[in-house]
Amino acid sequence: MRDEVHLLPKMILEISEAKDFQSAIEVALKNICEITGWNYGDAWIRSSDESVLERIPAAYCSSGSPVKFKELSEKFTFPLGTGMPGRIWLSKKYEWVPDVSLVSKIEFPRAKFARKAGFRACLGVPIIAGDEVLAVLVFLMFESREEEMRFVDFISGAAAELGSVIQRKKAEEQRRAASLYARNLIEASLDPLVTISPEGKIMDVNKATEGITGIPRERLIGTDFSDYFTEPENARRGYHQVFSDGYVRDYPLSIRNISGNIIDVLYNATVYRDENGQILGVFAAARDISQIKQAEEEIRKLNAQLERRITERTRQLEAANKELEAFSYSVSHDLRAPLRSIDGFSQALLEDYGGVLDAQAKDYLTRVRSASQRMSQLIDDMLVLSRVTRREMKRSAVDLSALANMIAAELLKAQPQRRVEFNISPGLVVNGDAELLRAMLENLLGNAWKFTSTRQSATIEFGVKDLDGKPSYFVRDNGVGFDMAYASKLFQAFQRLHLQTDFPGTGIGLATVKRIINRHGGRIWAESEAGKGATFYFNL
Amino acid sequence: MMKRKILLVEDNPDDVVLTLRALNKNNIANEVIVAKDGIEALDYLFGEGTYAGRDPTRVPAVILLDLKLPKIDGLEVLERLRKDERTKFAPVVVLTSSKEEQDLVRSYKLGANSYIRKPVDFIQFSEAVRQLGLYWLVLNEPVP
Repeated sequence: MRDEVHLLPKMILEISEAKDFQSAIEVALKNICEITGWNYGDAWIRSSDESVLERIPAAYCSSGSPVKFKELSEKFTFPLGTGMPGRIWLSKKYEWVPDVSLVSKIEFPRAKFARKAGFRACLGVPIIAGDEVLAVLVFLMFESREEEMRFVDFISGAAAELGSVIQRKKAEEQRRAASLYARNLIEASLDPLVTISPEGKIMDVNKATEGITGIPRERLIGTDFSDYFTEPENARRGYHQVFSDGYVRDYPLSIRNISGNIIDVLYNATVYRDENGQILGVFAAARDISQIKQAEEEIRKLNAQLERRITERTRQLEAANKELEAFSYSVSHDLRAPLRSIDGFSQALLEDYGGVLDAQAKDYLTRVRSASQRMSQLIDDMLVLSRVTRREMKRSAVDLSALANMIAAELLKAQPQRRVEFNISPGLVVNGDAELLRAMLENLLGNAWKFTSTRQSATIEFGVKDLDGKPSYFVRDNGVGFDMAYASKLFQAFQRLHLQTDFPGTGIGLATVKRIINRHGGRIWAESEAGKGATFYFNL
Repeated sequence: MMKRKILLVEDNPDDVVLTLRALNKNNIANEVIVAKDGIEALDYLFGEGTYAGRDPTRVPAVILLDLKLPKIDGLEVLERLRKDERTKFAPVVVLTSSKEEQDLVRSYKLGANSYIRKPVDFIQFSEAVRQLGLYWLVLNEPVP
């Protein structure tokens, strides 16, 4: 104990070489006990939730001292202000007990075990850094001993040294952790990051920068930042702008990498400063946009291709449409002329030679005439059907109720002898092509009119119903109806479900209606029972 | 005074026969000149070609004009005669098979006075001819 003061520097050195806080304390406990002759030493720190003090696992036992006490101590915790460690934590002052076997359990909660282990004198000292207690060290020895200043002085001195070493160590640890954290962040970035000095030299780079340039870190650091771009002048202007404005956003540059490949990037950069606000350099992050650019180029190419294809298709379609137009024009003119001859000369025969023809000959000529007139009607209806398809859609708000009323009035005027009741729901307005929708309603209402002709009193209804959340318009009649078995043929051109002699028609009307509905993106269907009328539903 | 003539521009011989029959049946006694294509029609109207020497100021009472014609079609005949001072007021009735909207609109734009679609039913056709004869040859007062 004579040379203990000389041993202090060696101990401090050993402590400062310890790898962390806990092993530093372990070293301190061992050194202090060995130098000053205490048989046992342990240390108390705050638990992680800061509610109590708990012992750190490492404790010192001199050879021959009972390990049992060390093990039992490990299970102890002290609330602040309780027991020796708790009191010292608050008072920040050392305590000396000449003989723990003589004090109460309140004063020294471990007294019973200490007595069993044979411990007597006890010294507790705080390790203080700044204003904060970092730990409380507790030493015990087998002898009973009055307070001795030289022990107290040495241990307090060691504890003070220990405090500053530990504090430095802790700060260092924190700094290292922070620095490692920052470095990891920087390296984790997929974007190439660079710091640039006010002279434009590269000061630091991350892995991504090595990747994009193909040049290792050591060869990048210290070189001119602008050297790695296709337009060095532009790169210099970029970082000068950062120094003058404090930042740049999405500054476009092209990196030329070691293999000569060009990579388009956008730079975002800010200045960074020291604690006094002095600008140290520029922190620049590049974003590789070569893939985006490539994708854009790809999209542009595909668009151009699509455009070309559309133009080609449009041209083909226009040609086909023109052909169709020419065809129907020709049909309209040329198919009709022979029919006029057939009808006209049959009529001439009837008129001029009626006297020499018998009844059967006249009947034949009448049949020829009605057949040619029927064919004329077929041609007209076919032209209407083809016109419905070719016609350009002109959409607007169309009042179906008003149209239905007009059509009903026309039908009643054409055959005033018929007794037909029309029930038309008012205010049914849709968006569509007025002319096409009129043609559609003319067909549906015309059919209802035609197929109720055998009824004494006919009823025709036009209204709307909500089916599957969609407004479904309907035309309902109490006419002859049709057999649902043939419903699928209803909307095909030239398909008829009734005899010409019963109900005249060309079988094109409903095909036209369906095309009109199709052109409006809607659907049409029908329900009926033979003899009980029919209902035609449509939505648009 | 001689009745003014009717110019029938029609390439289909059947239609010529039927039109003449319809005129005849309706007691329209005006002389009918038949032109089988657009050139012949214009030659007649302007006193040229086979009709060289004809006085073009003698404008027909009515011109019955088919649209689909060889060489020069009906619409072009109409356009040319409307451009000429001598014939610009001549009554022209387009008499055709077509019901195509484009034909109708263009005919009226070029200055047709009427547009009649020849029905297949001869009785209806005859009725149409009767009415147009009554209107253009009897009721209508021509430009002096």
